[in-house]
Amino acid sequence: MANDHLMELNGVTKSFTLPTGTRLDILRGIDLAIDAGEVTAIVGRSGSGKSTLLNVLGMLDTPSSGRYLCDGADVARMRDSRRSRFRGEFLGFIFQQFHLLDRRTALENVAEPLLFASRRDLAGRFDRAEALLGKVGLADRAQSMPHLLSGGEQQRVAIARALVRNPRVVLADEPTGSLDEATGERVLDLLFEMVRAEGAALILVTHDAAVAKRADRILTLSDGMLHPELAEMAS
Amino acid sequence: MIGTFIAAWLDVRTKPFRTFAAIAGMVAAVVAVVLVDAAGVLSHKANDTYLARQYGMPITVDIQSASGTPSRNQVDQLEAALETNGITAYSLDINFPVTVVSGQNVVWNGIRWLDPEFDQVRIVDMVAGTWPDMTADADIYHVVVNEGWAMQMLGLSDQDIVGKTLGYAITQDVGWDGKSTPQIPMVVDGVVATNTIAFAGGQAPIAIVSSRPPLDVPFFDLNPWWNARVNPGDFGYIQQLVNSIVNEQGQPVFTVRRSDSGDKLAPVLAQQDVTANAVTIVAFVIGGLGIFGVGLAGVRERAQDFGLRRALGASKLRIFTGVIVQTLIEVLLAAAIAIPLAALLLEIYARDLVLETLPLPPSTALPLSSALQGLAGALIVGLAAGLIPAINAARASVVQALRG
Repeated sequence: MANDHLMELNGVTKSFTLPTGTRLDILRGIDLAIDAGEVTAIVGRSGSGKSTLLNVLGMLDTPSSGRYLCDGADVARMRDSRRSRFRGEFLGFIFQQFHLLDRRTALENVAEPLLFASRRDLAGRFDRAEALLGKVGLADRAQSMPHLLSGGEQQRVAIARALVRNPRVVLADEPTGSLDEATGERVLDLLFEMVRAEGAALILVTHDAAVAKRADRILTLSDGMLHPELAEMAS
Repeated sequence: MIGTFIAAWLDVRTKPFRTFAAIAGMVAAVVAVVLVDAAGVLSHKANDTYLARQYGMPITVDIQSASGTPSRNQVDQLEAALETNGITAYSLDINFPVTVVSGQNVVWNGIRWLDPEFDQVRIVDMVAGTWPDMTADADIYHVVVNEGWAMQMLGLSDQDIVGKTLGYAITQDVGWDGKSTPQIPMVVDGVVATNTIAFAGGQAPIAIVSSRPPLDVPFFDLNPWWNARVNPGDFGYIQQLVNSIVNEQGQPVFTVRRSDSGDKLAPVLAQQDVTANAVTIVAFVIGGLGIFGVGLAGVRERAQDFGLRRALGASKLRIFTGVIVQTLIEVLLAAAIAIPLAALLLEIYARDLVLETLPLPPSTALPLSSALQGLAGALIVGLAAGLIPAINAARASVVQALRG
């Protein structure tokens, strides 16, 4: 039953038409189901369409065909305002480049998603942001600007921001891609710990097999298709 | 919506240089618009002040014979019509002799009416008392004297001389004698400031005397006119009323026109209004272009921020609204700087901004209407200038933006 899954993709395709008129099929019939609390790693070579899939899952991009149900709701039928509200409430994003707002403090960055939330959340946004910064070990850096934070600290701020609205699913695109190995390891530990503590599902896009190994399940994206059976190869 | 406002405010607050670049042109534009509008308002006020000083408000209209001398019956009809319609504040005016004296000498003598067209007298500032009312039917002469004259001649202050009877005067050979019993009383209505009175030839007279017409001539043989004070809004009605009195050929016997210098200054003030409107348009276009240019560049520069916000749950409408709100905040900041600045400049340069032939109105404070016009104009222009950047921000591809 579709409603049993947090997210469900059925036969989702995504293609682009190049200026030369050539059609480029990035995703070719993706079937995927994500359940609560599950950690899923999506691996694949560079250019395999991992980020495109993540954008579709994050409702930042629309599939060319197929059906995408999110918490039982058909995303294609949602208007932009509802889809945005849904995205804000249901999903949290973590990017490889952190994407912190450069003129905002760490605290303001974490509180930023709550500006688009309900009035109650808006009013208590700094309390919630402070609490999360405490959880990621950056309570003392709350007033620091992003450029004064290390890469690992910035990603921790991004993790706190992704979780500030209690999302059901966290989408992480190469979360350790800009960090050195040791820092990446620590950030990943924190991410897994936080996601599990918040009871959210995590979809991790990575090309790093070591990172993927920590997931409950590994899916490989190849030729625009997801291959669970190739998980062993990825590891 | 509150969140959108907060986000917009944070964007303004955290980008001071960008904000400054965006609002600099708008500050200049609002200052220019507010000042020019205020200059127009003050000129109109100055004109009103002038009119009030000369005639009292409301406006003054002249009703004259359309051609030839009206009959006594027609005159009675006119006056009855005026009074029946509640216009009782009118006076009959006739060309009457005026003599300007300097010391014991008559420097000018003729048949004139003391009005703004009296070519040897320009606007004066009163030190005490008032300018003589139109009192052609009074049995006294009304004079104004120069500042300091009373002290020099009679040992009285400028304030104390007002209302005093000086002596007597005759049409051709005016004399004065503070001690003699006046044959025709000559009463001081006011004292004029010597530094502001300007007479042809530069010689300020001791007194300007207005006298009544010869009593032995029937007034309606002197081509009379009526000087009525009416509400400006009633002018059209007065025209209808006066034009309703017709002769045997069905032609109107009388004509009516505004006799205050509103008529004379109207084209000048209208020209000033046209200039003000032109300045307003040019200034706002320049200010708007500043907002537009910086806004457009800002949206391009912050594409990633907008993409991120979309990912964090902001809808296209919120992004659009955020940019518009940010533009409006910038415009409000510009207005908050510009309007007090304009008020200050107006206090300093009021004399240069108001038509030089008019006295300054009692207050040169920035008129509220000018400030509101500057504010409203800035908001409208800001809204228009922010529209395209806001649309661009809302329509930008989130995926592209986040890819950077």
